[in-house]
Amino acid sequence: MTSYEFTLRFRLPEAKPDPETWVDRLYEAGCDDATIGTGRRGLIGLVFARSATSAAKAISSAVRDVQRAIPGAEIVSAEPDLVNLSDLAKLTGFTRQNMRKYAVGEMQSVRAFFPPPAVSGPENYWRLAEVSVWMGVNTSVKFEPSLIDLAYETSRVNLKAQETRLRQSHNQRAKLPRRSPTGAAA
Amino acid sequence: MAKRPRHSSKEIEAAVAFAEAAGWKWIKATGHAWGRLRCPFNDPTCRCGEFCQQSIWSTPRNPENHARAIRRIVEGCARLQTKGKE
Repeated sequence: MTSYEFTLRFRLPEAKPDPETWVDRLYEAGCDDATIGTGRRGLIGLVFARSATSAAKAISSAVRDVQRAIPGAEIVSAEPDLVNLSDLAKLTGFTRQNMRKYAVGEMQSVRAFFPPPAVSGPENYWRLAEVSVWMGVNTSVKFEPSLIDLAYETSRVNLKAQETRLRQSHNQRAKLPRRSPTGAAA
Repeated sequence: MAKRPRHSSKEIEAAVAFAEAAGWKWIKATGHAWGRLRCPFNDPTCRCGEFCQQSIWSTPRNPENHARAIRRIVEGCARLQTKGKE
């Protein structure tokens, strides 16, 4: 058994959006290994330290426990997944400047391209699942295998949840007027 | 002001004291929760979101893990981190 530390966030059912009302039920459903965040109406967050034989089992059993306690709760996100250069510096022990050199390909000793960011913008974000494997293959930094597995599972949860939400949102386009009334999107 | 009760786990008691030293407020709770800790900033746009208020168990499965999570949430507070950089 390995202990996996991860965060799950759920959207609460619209009829009972106060997160405080669910705390006791979560405890009774087996989430006594989670620290619960109740600071947002309509949402609930759980920081788990769950022992399991695999990362996949740790996460799937946690999701099952939460959905048993809160019928209709929808998973919103899982962490650790997206990381910026500061997060990576903390995880690897490199300075932020050094981590940046790896990310932009300025490290003379490493030929392989760094994984492209999952989110590009004023600040880039990478999937820990990709970077942790890349670092293990191309540098002396070796992440804990359990963290590599966990980051892979949380990424999968997020990609699936995001695809579901995207589809649901796009299906609502039928409610939109066929043409923009302002003519902006001619 | 009434003093809060001590938590029976010394690790959790220390984590709660750590949170209070960072400005978090303790609030009484009922049921399986021994109390709640509320972030001092109460900023609706804060990216900590849900964790601006955290629930503290009376008897978590593993008190040490619970205490560590409490501390990590306090340390992870985006507002405190920004303040530290200024």
